[in-house]
Amino acid sequence: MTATETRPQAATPRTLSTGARIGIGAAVVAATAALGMFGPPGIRSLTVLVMILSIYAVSYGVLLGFVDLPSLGQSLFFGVGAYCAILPLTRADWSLWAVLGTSLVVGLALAFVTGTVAVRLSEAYHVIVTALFGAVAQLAADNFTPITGGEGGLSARIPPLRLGPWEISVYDAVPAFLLYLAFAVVAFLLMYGLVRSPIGTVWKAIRDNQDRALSAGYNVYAYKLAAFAIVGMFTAFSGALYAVNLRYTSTEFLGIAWSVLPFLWVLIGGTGTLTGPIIGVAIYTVFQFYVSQLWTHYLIILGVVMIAVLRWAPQGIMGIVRPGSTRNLLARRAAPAAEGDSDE
Amino acid sequence: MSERRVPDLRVTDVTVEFGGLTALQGAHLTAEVGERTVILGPNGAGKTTLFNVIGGTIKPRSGRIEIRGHDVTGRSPRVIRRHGLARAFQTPSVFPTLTVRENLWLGRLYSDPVRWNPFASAHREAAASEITELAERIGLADVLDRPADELSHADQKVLDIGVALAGKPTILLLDEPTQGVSPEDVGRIVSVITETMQDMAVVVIEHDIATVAAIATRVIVLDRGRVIAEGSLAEVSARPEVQEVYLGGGLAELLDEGWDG
Repeated sequence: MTATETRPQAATPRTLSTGARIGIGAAVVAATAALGMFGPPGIRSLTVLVMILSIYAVSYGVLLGFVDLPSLGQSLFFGVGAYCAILPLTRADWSLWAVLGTSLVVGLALAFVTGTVAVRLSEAYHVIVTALFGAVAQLAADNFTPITGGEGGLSARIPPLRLGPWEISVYDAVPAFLLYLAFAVVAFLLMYGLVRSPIGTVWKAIRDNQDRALSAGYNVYAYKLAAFAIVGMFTAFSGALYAVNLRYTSTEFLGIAWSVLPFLWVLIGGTGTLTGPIIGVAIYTVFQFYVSQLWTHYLIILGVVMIAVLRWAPQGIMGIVRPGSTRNLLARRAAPAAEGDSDE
Repeated sequence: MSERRVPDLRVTDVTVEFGGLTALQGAHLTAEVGERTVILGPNGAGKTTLFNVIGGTIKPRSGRIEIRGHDVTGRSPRVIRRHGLARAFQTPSVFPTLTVRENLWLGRLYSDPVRWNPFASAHREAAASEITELAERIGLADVLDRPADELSHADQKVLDIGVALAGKPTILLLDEPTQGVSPEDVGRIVSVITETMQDMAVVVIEHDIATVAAIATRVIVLDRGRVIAEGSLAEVSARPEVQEVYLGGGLAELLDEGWDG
């Protein structure tokens, strides 16, 4: 049959062409590389933090914005990743590749195991149980001081990273910067590819209407578990790089603060996008660095900023830059229940 | 020794209770490919409950649901979908932030191995010509790239049906496909039902008698959780117990006079 009436043509959401996306991405990467090579050391080390934490932020953006799993226990994976990097180096002669690879494998496995419980739960229980995982991990780590170093933490000397004929030492600022940049870019591209693959579409379908996804034949549990495990892997990798950059880790990395931070980053930047969390983490890092120098209680300002964002710009920065690209976290319960409307 | 044919959908003696309330009491139903069975019945008769039992969202207290001979009683909606049964819902149940194209694509992606391929491009996969053809058949071709929540109510009803159709089901349950839809859109939905579902067993819950007359090849009347009549619309409406349910013969009069509402 043919279309019976002409429908009003609505404003189509502004989407960038693939060429424009590649162009903007390449420009941002080139500008960041230039900043690292020619910028002042202070800016460089701040940018390193942004790059490393952007892996954490973007992966949490996938979890919160694309799969609707508001985990409050990501510090478990971040902290475990950090220990995967430092602990072997304090006791054995591991290579940097080995410890980074370990963080990926352990992060994936740990998130898979915890996810088998966590992703089955409805939203509020998911938040509580994931927060509990993080709290238990920190408590346990604090009690195993001989291994974890407790709150005092562990330091290690970081071996150079062998890359074919080259060796990159994290003690050389510019090569280390470029190494972190390369890791951040690869991680971003992997996650970008994932959300644009059929898996990403099913994630969004589950986020939009879980009951419909089930009756349309999807294994909702398996898709959520896959998301949780993959995000846990990237989070652990980010933790490992963070610890390598500091040459240090402590049980503080397992604490609740490190679980709240990614939520803030994603919220500031914009839920439902992948670039938003990077903007969020950049704003947060710069803010923390400069404002904490002026006032010790800078977290109060941050809290006020967060409330302001939630009140006046609940779609975050990306919601202002590209309206329609983000999701309003506060108004997302719009999907009707498939069964609740029966006339029975 | 002729082999007895197994019905595509067979519901036998299904009872459902909510607390002390009996929603279905020994209900039965069969549906065959090529048939369009309409379930009639007043509010509270158990029509949507019957769909929920068949679709796997409610487990019956007793009874049996078979799809082409396979017992699927109490199985999950996902398993039942994989046996070839799809549904469209009373309140249109679509994926609101996804485009019409993505919605339709999701209707069939569930059985495509590419659904777990992290290296495939969703954009390219969803551009398949079958999706465009389906959208043309159901009259949504000009809104393919619009998010589902921007569509009118009628278009969302059609899209919900389209998501079910996209997976080429053998059994299709439609819960009040024309509810809340303007008269001209009712015609559109009726022609989608009569023209695109010939190779399926279609079961429809519908109140509007003109629509029932237009789509039904057979009718089942449900009242207080029991099947009280089945047959053609004319046969069923002649039955006194059906007339009693429909306010003392109003149904037959409506049929005699024709219905232009």
